[in-house]
Amino acid sequence: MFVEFVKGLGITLRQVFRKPTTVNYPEEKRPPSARARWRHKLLRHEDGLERCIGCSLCAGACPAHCINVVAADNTDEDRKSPGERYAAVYEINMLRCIFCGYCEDACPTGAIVLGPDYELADFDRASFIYGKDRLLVPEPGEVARVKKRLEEREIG
Amino acid sequence: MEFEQTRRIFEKARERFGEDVSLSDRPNTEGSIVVEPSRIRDFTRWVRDEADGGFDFFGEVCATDFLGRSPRFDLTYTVYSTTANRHLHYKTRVDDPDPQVDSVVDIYPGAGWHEREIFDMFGVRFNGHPDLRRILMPEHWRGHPLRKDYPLGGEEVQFSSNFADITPQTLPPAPGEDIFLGWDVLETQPSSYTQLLESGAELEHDGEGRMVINMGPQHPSTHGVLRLLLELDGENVVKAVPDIGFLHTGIEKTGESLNYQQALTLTDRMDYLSPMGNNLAFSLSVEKLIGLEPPERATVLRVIFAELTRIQSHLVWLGTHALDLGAMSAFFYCFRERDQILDMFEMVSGVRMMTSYICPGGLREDVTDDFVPALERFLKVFPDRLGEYETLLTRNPIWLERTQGVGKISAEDAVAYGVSGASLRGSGVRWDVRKAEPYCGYETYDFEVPVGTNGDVYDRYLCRIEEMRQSHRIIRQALSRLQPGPVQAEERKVVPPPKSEIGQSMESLIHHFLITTIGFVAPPGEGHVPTETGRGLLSFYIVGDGSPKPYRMRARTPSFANLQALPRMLEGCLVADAVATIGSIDIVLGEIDR
Amino acid sequence: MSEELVTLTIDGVTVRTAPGTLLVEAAAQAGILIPVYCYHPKLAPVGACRMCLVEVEGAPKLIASCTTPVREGMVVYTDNQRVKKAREGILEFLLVHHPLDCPVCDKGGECPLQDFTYQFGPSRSRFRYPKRHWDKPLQIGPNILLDRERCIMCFRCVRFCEEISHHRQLGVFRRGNNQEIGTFPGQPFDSRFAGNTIELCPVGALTGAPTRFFGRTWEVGHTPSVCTGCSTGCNIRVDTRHGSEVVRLWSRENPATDDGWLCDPGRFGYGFVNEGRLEEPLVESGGQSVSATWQQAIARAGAVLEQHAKAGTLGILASPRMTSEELFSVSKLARTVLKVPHLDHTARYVHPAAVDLRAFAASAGFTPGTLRDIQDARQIITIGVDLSREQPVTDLRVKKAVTQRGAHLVVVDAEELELSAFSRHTVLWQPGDEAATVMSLANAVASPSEANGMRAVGELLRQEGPKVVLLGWRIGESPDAGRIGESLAALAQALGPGTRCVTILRHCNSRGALDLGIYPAEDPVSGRGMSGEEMLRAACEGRIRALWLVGEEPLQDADPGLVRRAMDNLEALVFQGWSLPSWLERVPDAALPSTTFAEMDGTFTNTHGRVQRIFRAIRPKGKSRPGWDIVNDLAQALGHPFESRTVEAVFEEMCAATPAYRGLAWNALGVAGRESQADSAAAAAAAAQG
Repeated sequence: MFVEFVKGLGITLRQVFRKPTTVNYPEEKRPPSARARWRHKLLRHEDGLERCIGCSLCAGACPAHCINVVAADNTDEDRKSPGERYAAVYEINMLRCIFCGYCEDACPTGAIVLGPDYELADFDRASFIYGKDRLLVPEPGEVARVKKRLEEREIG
Repeated sequence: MEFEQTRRIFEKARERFGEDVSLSDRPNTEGSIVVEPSRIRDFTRWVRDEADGGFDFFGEVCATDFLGRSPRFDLTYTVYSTTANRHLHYKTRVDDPDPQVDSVVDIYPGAGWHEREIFDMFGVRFNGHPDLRRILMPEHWRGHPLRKDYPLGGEEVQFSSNFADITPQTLPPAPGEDIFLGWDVLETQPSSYTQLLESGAELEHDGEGRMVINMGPQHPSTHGVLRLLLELDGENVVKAVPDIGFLHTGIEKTGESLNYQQALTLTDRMDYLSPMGNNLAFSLSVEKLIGLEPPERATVLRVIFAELTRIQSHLVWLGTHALDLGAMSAFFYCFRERDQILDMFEMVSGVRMMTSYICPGGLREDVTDDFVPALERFLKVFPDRLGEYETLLTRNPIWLERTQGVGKISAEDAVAYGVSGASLRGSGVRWDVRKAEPYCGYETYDFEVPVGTNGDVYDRYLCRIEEMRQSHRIIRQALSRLQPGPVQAEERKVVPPPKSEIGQSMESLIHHFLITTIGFVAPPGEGHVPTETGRGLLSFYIVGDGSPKPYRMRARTPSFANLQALPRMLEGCLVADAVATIGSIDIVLGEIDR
Repeated sequence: MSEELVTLTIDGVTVRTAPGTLLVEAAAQAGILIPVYCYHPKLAPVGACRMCLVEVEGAPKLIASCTTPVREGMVVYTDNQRVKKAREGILEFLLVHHPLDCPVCDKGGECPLQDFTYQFGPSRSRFRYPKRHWDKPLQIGPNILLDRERCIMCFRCVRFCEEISHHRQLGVFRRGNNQEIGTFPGQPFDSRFAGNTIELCPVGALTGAPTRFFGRTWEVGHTPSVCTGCSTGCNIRVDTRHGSEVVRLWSRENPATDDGWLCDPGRFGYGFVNEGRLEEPLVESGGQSVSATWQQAIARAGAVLEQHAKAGTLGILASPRMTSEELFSVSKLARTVLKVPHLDHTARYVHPAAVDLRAFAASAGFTPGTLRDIQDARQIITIGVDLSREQPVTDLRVKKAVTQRGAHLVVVDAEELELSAFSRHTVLWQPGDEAATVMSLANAVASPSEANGMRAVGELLRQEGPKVVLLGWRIGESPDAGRIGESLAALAQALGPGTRCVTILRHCNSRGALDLGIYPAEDPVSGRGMSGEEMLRAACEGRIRALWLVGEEPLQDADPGLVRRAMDNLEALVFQGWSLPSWLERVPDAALPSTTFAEMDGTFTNTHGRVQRIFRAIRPKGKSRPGWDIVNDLAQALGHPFESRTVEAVFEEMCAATPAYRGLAWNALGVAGRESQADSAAAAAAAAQG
């Protein structure tokens, strides 16, 4: 009987010499997967135009109905995206989002992508409604990760 | 189960029951026998004892509301044979107003909760049921949520344009705002539950030490929001009544309002410890309904993920179960290995738990290049780690003291209550759906189904430990079979085309547009494939109506049936043993309450 | 059925149908779907798109089912391999040049081209060459955008213009690969029925300019309702987003009122719901309108009404664009609580005899008719009404009767109208000469000898067959409307018994206002109240010192100079409505925001007396509330609370109190409405008199 306890204690003792598997979050963070499905981003083309054409396919694919797109006409004077149509309003209610990534699958232009940022806590409901101001990346050509991801999913 | 088998049984039933039975042969289905409601008890007894060698295991009874049809409700009974490895669907049809049918709870004790659920959700009365009252919804609830004429309700999604207009809904609604006005509050029969509560009030003062206590719903060792009413005589449990429904989220109702691929995301959230297992069960049923075969690589990967899911689910069980009984180290070690598996899930799907990775038609996308090396790393270390857990527990005197001879259930009782998974096998019944009714090519893998002998907590523990070893074996075999190839079926009417095509091909763009938004169309019919998850028999019963949305999405979850047998296991136990017993049947409230 | 039925077999199903039925229709009767693009039940078949090919036993080639009538013993297959292959082929051809526009196209999600491609079409492209390109989108009319790349040449739009609206503004130009739909050089597509082509177009080639990018099917909610543009009562579907904005109106066929079409003024005239709304109650303070709570505004309004009602200086004008329930509540408050006899729904001048136009027509001896009677009529006579402008959709009905069934149209008006092009005769009157002209017509019909230059029209109208007279509301403005009554009586006599008359009223619920007695009628207790126009004059003279203006429509029709003077002279004004009138210069003492048709439940009664329900489609804007609810509060404030607290209760109360609506039940109205009893009651009254 006593032998079993000693064996068990041996196992626990052995752990002391193993490399710890935990990290000191938030000082340290574990690297997210290349396919990480967290905070959304709206991407731009190389020339700075928005990829999003306001087609609402993401909204249609969304099981939580948490995407709201209001489309408007592009004009040559004020061109937001290639073609006729762009998203005048693009909002995601992050409280409703279930991060399934169906919007990314549905997007015909590779505009909406889910990324590795998972620290989304906030203080009030209103601030969880992400508009274009927060979703749209400021610069064309996102980080390499996203580009690689787009190639992987065969989007030009 | 093939249609021909059903027909064979039907022919025998015809001899016995004459015109009271008929054969339903809706397309794409295994077929089912339709029984007149008046003969349901005779027929059920015949099915249990005689039909084709007898079907001893009660899977489920579920209802479907065909609003506008007469008779309105289909009750579909699914029974299994643990010896002959097959199952049978039979139906009876009841009509408005006041639909009712005889209860079969004395023939199959396992029907008890399923019948209560139908009573709760559809308002069908089961005559002769000893304890017919609501099970998932609160007792004061109005109406029957799964009826088709019951409003879906829900709170509108807030955006900046309507933010101020929408105020979060509260229940119960304010007077005059009751959206369910017109639905009657259900009359419930005096129940053992209320009797127990009432007697509890008296017992506390009877001076003989008998009393009723609440265990849960906020209790760390009930593994979720389970409430147990325990009638105690000193330390001994005289009677236990589980109270569930605290985590009811209307998954079956919501599923009817989403298209098939959207409904898939709900299954992740049912048994949150086995998302891939749920994805798989749902996808198989939908594929059966459509008549779709996923490609070879997808099937092999599905097996790998199903087994990984089983291991990680068992690891959570083992860790928390040991923790409940005071062994803390095992908890940390189990979660360490589980994290390795979750890392792999994140690698392929992007998230750790709500994967939605296995989908009708195959997999969302192929695994990443670093998946196989990561899997091999895991397979290499895991057997040793498993050995460590066993060293900690298997012959540990405290562990033995707490688990051996505790929470016993006999093989007969377990089968009759519809207990499945390791909880059934611990009682010595060698019944595993992967062997009995193989799917995903499980018949081609070499593995054992471990069984216990005593049906106590310890035997269930041993079974699960051994199952992890067997899963490890299956994964090894599957990995060796993994060949390059597509992971999605070549059926463009179900699986959207590759994205590279939609910039060039109008046909592809249209199919992409419709399938991703409105959804693929499944033909009218029924899809049902039993699977074995970490907890036992999980099957989805999907009724298609030719639209992109499931007409009915029923989940027969193992925890629901297993929990039903808990009072039986607890009879005569000590209160402290209740903790061990709950841990040993490995329930997840997410799939019980759905 | 006296006619022999034809029996044929479609996909093994035996179908019995009337001779002359097209195959595609016979299949539909049997529940078999044959995909179609060019075929439309309301348009003549052309067989242009080839989508509906089926195999008929004995025929060497596949046959277009939309142009082939059924034959006895025909055996048809709609889903065998040959047919499937043909469909795939047709769809492949249609998609060859179709642009990759689904994501930016308004039709996406509700597009027959998408749907049939998914159901019947190939899932891969074989075409590897550049697609044809055109400039796009072209704005070809005020409301219509044309995208020629998307067009699949079904010609539905062209055929609609030729066969239905008879505004021939679209044509097919060039040939083969370069074939395109277009307008004639320099001519816009500005037909007032242009919007219907958006609905007819099976792809996104024709889309609405005002509704561009309105949203997708999955974002848009659909609610049945009734158009408030004119008194036809066309059934519509209100498309909304987020339950807070109306984005599109769509037709909803009801043979009793609209026959499946909408006019552009109605279709695109929903802007008032979304913009310029009075969103919160206002009260006057120091010469300014300041926002107030409902309680404050109701108290203020109640005080004004009470004070002036007691002094006998209160006038009430209620808009005929409000629901019957709102009108009923206003009338109930006026008659039972305020006890004010001065209540009207319009402030234009109306001859006392013709105030209630339907009674006017009935007393002339006409049988009340419905809009549907037009389609069975042999002779149609319009008197003093320009249907093309006043009831465009009824204009389509008349055109259909004339062109498709050869009905005879006689137009009686001051000038040639658009419909004159379809009439056998146009009888012109000089202003002031109306009564005499109608009398001459009556005489010409009655006796050939007295045919003072109207012999031909007289002969025409003497012919046998159902006759319908459409009588315009402007008749009542004529100073000698009383004499017109006599002339009409003579005409009714001459046309013979059973001649139906439909009175064409002005607003969507003018008929409701008449049915509910919102006009100065002889009252046994208080005598005759003032009409709207008299109230304005009285206001100028100081006899009316306060006005409760419920909606601005009553004043829209009045003399603007008179309105301005009256407004300046008023001591107090209580306004209730969905937006403050732009012309209103004075600050109302209280302004009470009410909801539009899109935000509430209720009923409208169309011009011939059909009671139709509207359903709440969006949340009320701001703090606005349905008019009946506001009146309930006023009644409470005045110390006489009403019992009916829901719209349904108000409706029931109204039906019990109004002879015309007796027997109607809220739940039995459904989405298509019911004919009121008014017609039979009026007919009975007329019969009793005669």
